[in-house]
Amino acid sequence: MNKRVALAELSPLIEEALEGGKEVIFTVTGHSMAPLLRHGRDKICLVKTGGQILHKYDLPLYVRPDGKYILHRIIGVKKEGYVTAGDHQGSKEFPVLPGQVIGVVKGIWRDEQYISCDDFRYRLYSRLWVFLFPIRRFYYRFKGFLAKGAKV
Amino acid sequence: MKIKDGYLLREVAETNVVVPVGAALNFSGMITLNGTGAFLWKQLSQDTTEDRLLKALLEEYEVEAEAAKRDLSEFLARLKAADILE
Repeated sequence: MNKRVALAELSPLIEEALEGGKEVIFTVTGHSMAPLLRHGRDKICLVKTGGQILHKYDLPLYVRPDGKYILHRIIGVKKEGYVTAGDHQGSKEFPVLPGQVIGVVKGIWRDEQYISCDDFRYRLYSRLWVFLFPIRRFYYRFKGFLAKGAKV
Repeated sequence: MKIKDGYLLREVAETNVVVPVGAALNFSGMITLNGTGAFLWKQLSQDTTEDRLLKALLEEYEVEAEAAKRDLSEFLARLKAADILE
């Protein structure tokens, strides 16, 4: 009875619901937003942006030109677009245009516990995580360097 | 019996998908149905009985009555267990 349906295939339903002012809830897949959101386990609640410009630390769902759906954090806002990175990543993506954004996360469920994005602890975590980005970037590069070195 | 309000049935990428919808569209409660499941779901959008469903099933599909009856009661049991019927 339960076949897996990819998020990209559900996108017309998601966009229609958001446009109609409804919230959209789904379980995240992938590891790029770990440790905050765990693959196949934690859920997000998405709302529409209403054409508003998002802010640093916001968590948008956007679609890449190749059709991939991505949930990454905004770590910078520039004139040309957003700079984004997954919480578990050391690489940036730029520019992500406001037109690519489908919705923005309003709150999350870690297991069954709901945490609003306005929650003090969540805000502290997201600020700390973005602040630590340069260190994470360095760490992943260094790890990559060692891995390459080991192969030679 | 009928399906409770608050469910949306759509065909997405050749799969029939049912999503609970209230103030939010909740994909974590998503159900996928095969063709027969979707057929029954549509019949159940209006008040009906197990006998009438069986009759509709036999008219629509070339299937033996015994097998259809068994599959139908299994399907209804699953909907009841998920608290989808009223």
